[in-house]
Amino acid sequence: MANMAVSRIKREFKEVMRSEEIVQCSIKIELVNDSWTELRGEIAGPPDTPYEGGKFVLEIKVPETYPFNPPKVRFITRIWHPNISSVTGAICLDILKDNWAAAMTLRTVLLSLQALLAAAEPDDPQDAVVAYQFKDKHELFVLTARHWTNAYAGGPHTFPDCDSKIQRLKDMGIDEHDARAVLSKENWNLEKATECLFS
Amino acid sequence: MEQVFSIQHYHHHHHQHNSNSNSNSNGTRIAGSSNTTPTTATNTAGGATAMTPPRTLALNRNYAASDTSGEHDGDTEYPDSRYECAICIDWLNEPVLTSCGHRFCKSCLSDWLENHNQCCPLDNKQLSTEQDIFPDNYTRREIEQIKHKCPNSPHGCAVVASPIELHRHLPSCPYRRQLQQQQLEEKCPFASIKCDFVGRPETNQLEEHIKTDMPHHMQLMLQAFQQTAIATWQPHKPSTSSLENGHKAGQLAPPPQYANGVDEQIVQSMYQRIVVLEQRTREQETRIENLNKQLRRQQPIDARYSNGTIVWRIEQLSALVERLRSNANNQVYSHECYTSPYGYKFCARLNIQPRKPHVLSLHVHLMQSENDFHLDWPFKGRIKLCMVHPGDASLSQHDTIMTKPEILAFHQPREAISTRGFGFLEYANISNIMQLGFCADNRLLIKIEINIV
Repeated sequence: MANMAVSRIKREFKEVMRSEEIVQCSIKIELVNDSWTELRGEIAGPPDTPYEGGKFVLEIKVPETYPFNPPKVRFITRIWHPNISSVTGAICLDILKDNWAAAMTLRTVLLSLQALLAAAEPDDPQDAVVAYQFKDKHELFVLTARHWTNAYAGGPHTFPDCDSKIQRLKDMGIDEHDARAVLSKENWNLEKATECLFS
Repeated sequence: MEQVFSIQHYHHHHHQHNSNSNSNSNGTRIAGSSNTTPTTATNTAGGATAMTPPRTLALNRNYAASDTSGEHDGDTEYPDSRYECAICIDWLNEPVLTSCGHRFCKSCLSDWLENHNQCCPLDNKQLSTEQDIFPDNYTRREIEQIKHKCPNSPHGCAVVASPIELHRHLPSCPYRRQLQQQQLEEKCPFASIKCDFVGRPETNQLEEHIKTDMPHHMQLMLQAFQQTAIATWQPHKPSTSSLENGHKAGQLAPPPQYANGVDEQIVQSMYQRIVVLEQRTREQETRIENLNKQLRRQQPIDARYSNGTIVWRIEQLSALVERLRSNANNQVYSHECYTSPYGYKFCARLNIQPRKPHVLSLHVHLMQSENDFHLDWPFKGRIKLCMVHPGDASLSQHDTIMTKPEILAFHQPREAISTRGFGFLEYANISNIMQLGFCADNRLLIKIEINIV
């Protein structure tokens, strides 16, 4: 069984390498170890989304029972998205769980994740805070997601206002990422964020 | 080629006729048709065409594979989509067809259904193991008729078989290790013009290298082109104009003048010609190498030209004696010989009788051969046996047997090896052999000469 997992991953790896998307630099994949059980994927943020211009790195772990069970995929790059945990990078996507089918491949998984970035499903959230913001304060959500894309994934849009608020918290001895996470959660309300951090 | 066929027969007896009549023509036909219906891999490979330079050189395995040309019949890795199982993404092994019209390997699908809610992996339709899954023997036969060379064929493996059989063959292919070693490194397609980049095949280092090192490659191309241009140019402008212009003979001829379109054409066609010739030389070298290997393997043919002489080197004598003693049915046969290319075929046999465990018996046996029908029977001749002493030729033991027509051993054999032999029940005392030094390095040499009289 493990044998099939490895030989399939090898084939899929080549498939990704030859795909249209790799030429357009929209997805990428590389090996982490020699046993083909762990790979690193990368997807480009889709255009016309807050993630545009960002590169998101994914951890892909291939189980022994692959392709009968889905690969375990997680975002390594931090991302602000209703279906992805802003803390752990865990993904809520049906095809990575119950709706996995053996005919899916690394390429289709990466493309599905790209599609997930373009079309979030706030009603089936992984990160409730983000999902709430997405539904209730959508403009703030877009700003936050763009800011995170800039901070962690090399996106082009900078937000001096956010940066100065983070700097304020940093000056109080808060770690930059913790500051960003709390501010994002508190809809960039500096007072609430401070309260939350120090109470 | 003969060897190839014998292997096919060996693998599936029931399809002997198919493979016999179709293996050659059909193999190429099917491979050719995959050209017109590209696999999914090919479709997605469209992107690779964007990088034109490697394609024109077409040296790298990756790029060569991306155009899945039918001639790449060693490339068993990429099945046509209709022969591909969506679960293992490999050649369908014992294909089954679902009621929703999808094919999978039997074992892949049953593993999937066992683990999951009875749904087709492609369209999620409910599948009942009893009612919705049928063996697809049509596809199975079609795949069986596809013949690929073993991927190790460049290293000399002559096996040609269906992809499924190749899967079974590959782990035990004697040429496997060479290939694996090579695969650890992936050379740049520009290696032939002295680009020394080496990447690991499972990474995209090579692709990156090709993309980023373009200027370097262009430079190498220019150098290589200038060199070939000069090399092909010299003989064509012997001494007339260049010497008149005051050039010394030792100087290189000037590079071709590109203002003159004809010159450029000549250089280019010469260059192409050289490439073609070099390629042909390389192909022929590998052919010669392969033929040599085959020759070495087919040594028994030499028996025809042995002139009735068997030089029998018996290695590990003491172990052999042990074995022969342990069971009266154990015996050991020499290789065969022919008295002449169209003559009688013989071999010799050693054994030990249980009643006389200290003595070796040596007999000569007639063997059936393709010549038997035109030869005179019974065989008439002289058989000389000689146990050769490795140190002192005068100590060698010589025996001569003359045939007699009434001895059944010399009548036409009815079995592959005649059941009747002729020789000495007590040929040599084993302890004598050891003590008198016949057996240096635990090796005994018996020479048998059979001549017609």
